[in-house]
Amino acid sequence: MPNAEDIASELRDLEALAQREWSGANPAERLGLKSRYLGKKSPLNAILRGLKDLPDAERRTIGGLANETRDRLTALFEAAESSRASVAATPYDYTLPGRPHPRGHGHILSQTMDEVIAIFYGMGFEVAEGPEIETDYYNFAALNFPPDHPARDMQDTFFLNDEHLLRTHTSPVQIRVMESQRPPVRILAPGRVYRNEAINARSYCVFHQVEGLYVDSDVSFADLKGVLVAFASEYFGPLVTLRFRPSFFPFTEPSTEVDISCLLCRGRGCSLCKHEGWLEILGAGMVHPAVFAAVDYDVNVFSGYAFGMGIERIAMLKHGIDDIRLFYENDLRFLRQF
Amino acid sequence: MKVGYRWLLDYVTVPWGPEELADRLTAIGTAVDGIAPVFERFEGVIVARIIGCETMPNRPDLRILTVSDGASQRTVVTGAPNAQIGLVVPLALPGARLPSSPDSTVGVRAFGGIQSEGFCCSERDLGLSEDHSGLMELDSEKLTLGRDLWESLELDDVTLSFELTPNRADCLSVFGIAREVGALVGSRIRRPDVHLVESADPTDKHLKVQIDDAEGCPRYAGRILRRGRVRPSAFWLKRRLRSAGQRPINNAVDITNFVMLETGQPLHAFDWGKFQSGQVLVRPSAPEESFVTLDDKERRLPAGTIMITDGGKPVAIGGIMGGQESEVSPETQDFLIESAYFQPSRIRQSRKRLEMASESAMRFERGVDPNGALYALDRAAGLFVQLTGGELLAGAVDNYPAPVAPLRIELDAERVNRFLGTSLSTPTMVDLLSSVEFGVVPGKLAIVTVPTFRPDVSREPDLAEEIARLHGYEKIPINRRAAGVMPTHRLATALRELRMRELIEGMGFTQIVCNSLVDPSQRATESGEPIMVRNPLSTDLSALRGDLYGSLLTVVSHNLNRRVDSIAVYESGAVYRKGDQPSSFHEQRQLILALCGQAPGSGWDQPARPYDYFDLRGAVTALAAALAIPLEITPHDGAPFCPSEGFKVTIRETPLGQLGRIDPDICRRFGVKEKVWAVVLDFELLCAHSGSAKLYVPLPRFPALYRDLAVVIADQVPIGDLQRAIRATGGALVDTCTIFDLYSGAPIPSGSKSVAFALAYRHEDRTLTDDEADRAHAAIVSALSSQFGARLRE
Repeated sequence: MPNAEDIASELRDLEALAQREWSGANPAERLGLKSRYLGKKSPLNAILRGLKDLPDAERRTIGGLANETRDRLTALFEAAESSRASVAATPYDYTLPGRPHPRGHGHILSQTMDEVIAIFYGMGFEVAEGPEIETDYYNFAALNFPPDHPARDMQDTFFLNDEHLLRTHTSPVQIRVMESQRPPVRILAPGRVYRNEAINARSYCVFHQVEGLYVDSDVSFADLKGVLVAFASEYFGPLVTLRFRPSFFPFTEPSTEVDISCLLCRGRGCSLCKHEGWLEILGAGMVHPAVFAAVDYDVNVFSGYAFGMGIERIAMLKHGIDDIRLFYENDLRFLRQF
Repeated sequence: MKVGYRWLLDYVTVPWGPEELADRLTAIGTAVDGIAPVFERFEGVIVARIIGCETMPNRPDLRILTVSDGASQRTVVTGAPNAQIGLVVPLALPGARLPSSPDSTVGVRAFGGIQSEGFCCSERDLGLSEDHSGLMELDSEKLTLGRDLWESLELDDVTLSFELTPNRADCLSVFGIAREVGALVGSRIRRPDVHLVESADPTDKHLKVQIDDAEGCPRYAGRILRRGRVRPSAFWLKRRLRSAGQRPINNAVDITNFVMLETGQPLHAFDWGKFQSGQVLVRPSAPEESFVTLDDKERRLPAGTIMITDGGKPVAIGGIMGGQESEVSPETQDFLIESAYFQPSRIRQSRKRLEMASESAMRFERGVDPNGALYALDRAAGLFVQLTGGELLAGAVDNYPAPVAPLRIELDAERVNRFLGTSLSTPTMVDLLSSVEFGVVPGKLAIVTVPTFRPDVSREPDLAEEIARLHGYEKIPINRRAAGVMPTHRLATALRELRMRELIEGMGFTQIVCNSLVDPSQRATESGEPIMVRNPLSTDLSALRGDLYGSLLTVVSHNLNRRVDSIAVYESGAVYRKGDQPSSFHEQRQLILALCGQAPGSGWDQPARPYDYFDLRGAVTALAAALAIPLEITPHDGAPFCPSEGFKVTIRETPLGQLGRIDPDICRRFGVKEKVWAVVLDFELLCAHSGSAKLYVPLPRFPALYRDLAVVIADQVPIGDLQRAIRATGGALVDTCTIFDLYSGAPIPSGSKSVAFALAYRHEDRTLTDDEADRAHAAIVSALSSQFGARLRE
């Protein structure tokens, strides 16, 4: 039976030897050292296994010593395992591309729509939707396009039958919402609209629109200007300036078309803005009394504004897209750019 | 509407050049969208008088002219038949540059030994008209010999093109545009005074006007001019017409066009000699009636067309186009000049049904001033006397039984300020309205008289618009106040769509947005009768899509053709179907996800492989998990999928959609040869089932015990059935059951496969003992053995 003194000395020798060998070993050799000194067949493990044969007093002394030795060696080996030196030689070519995590892309029209909605959502507008197959009443008559009025020529329409058509704007949603709710009304109507126009780089038979409507007591043209200026500076950036030109829409009075200063030349004139310095982005105005009459709102109590913009148009301006057909061709090489 | 800049100067003083004027007009809503020169520039042409004219020996077609520029004389040769002594003509000097040959200059040329020092010009030589019948004859009284012709004729004019909105009928005339300029300048326009020289013979002795369609024609006025002569117009008239984009024809037609452009009142000149009786009868068209218009087309007249007749035969379609028979010809001597007012919607209905367009109809449709008819008639009559040399009968015949009175509107300045967000004083508003000829009686409520040339103004907001645009939209404040607190609800479906899109994009699918108008002969499925557009752009865009497959395959084909070989796309869009009721329609939102081509590998340690069923199933499962929806996928033979590779997707027994490989025959129709895997789900149903908030499940408090299980079973046994049996047998103790190996081939006997599951057993309320786990495991082994003939793999 070994005495306690011998065991203690063996432990000291073991530790000293391990430290000496460790400091002289290369990384591959060090892996072997760890199992040689701490593994199941190691002398240290044999000592620990033999502890149960020792008398109580010595078992405590030697047990303590042996455990301390094991902890110190473990710390030595583990510290070295995670040291910079031990990983330095790991062989791989860092220039190889990573394994793919395929990323899908939202269509740029959706991204634009989301951004526009988010800006107006922040100003208290909520989203409302309506059908694409509309009736003459909602698309025209209730919006103060009388039958046989030249204003109807402003929007070339696809008809399905005498009564039904493909909506030419999302303005019918105004009427549907106002029919179902009393003021205050503050909505945003995004969606797909149709125009029977020749297809070319600037125009397509389908496009997307966002229409805004706010009706309350004492809503003014100055409020309309405020909300549009806020939108434009959020969407196009704070350097953009706006121009409000008088215009005509049957469902607003006064009506305005709104231009932003050219994004490329900042108003000096270039080919994007056809040397005018301005880019048209939306139409707007104060809700026409005839529209309020159609939904039975009292024009003496309420006033409101409405605005509408083409999503393709603003996306083209912001991202420099020069052909509207790209949106509907769905070439993945185009879609993956956004 | 096009207007010459110099024409405007006839009625109003303009302190700005054309460009600045255009900007200022645009700012008040009279938008100018183009400025272009009226004439092509020429140089080196002077005013000269022919003082000698001899026929050239041996060349009877040419004449030798001596021309004077007032100081010196030159010899020129001409072939023009009208050359004669005394004529004042344009002389292009050597070195002159003409529009007809802009790249060369006029030189000295010899004709039969005679040196021609330049040449005398026709109007066509100078680019002034198409007239090449002879030398241009200049007005000897107004022009000075030797002076530059370009400057003398004031040819440096520009045409302003206006992009007018349909409400601004008042701006379809030079007067109207001049009125807008006047508002900018602060002055009223100068309308030409009309002083008529009339014969003693009264018009109403010769002309009776009867209106049998008072609704369609509230006013009809006419004058008669006798023994006039039709000939080319004077140059000043041609110049004005050209500056408004009109082609001169002859003096009679040119005068009616000129006065229409000037005043906005369409006029018509008839050959009075073609009228059988001294009568004009206005009536609605008769059933089945047809008529030859002056463009030589026979037209079937729709019901309700307003016809001008001579009491018997029709002579014109009122307000739209004259007839061929009564058209003014070079032989015409006696003229009836018509100035009428026709009801706008009646004109529009007829014009649309006739599929015709004319300057006259365009104006009547938008609304002409009913009270402007007489001025225009007299203005034209004066020009007829001046330019045709005829004799004007005394007085106009004017059938106007119910004169239109100007509208009066109350104007509450305070309310207008509130509406606009301005603080304009009442006098300012009055001044602004007066500047465009509105009459205003000031007061607490001002009374505004709307001129009858402004049919678009009928209520206070219309006046507010006039005030706003004339004041300037840019001067209206930008109000940044936040109005009223209102809770904003995002539409549930919109929010869920956004969330769903993020999920799907996160899985690598790219969104496509397709045209909903499709080719009805190119349908992927027979999803009911397609909804047809009555007036399509083309047949390949003539129906609304009944499914999303066709659009998808078109996109897949487009991309494959461009060597995009890994296609993972989705669309969230509507499909359109006819409803049960006649002319009822149904729009349904659907979601389609599709895979085609190669799943992307790393390219260096993961080889690319074709997309398959499991890629799509994985995406659907992940989507379902994210939305917390329990989906079932079971075999289903339905179009457009292959019978053996079609599946239906259900949620608690409710059909939600279909999944599978699209029938290769259908793919081929769209030019796709590759396999296409797709799933289509009912978007609204998906949203409806995904609405509820996810509930927290407490995390396990006790450790699990892990056991692996590898069994050999017959090939045809679905592994999903094994998993169901494992859970059924193990009950609540089975925490997870995942497949970690699937193998067939040696040493597994053929016709069999080996599948390995990693099982975790766990008790919710206490630490599970090894014994309990082993017992559960053994029960599962025996269940698999008895139910599926599964053998434990050694």
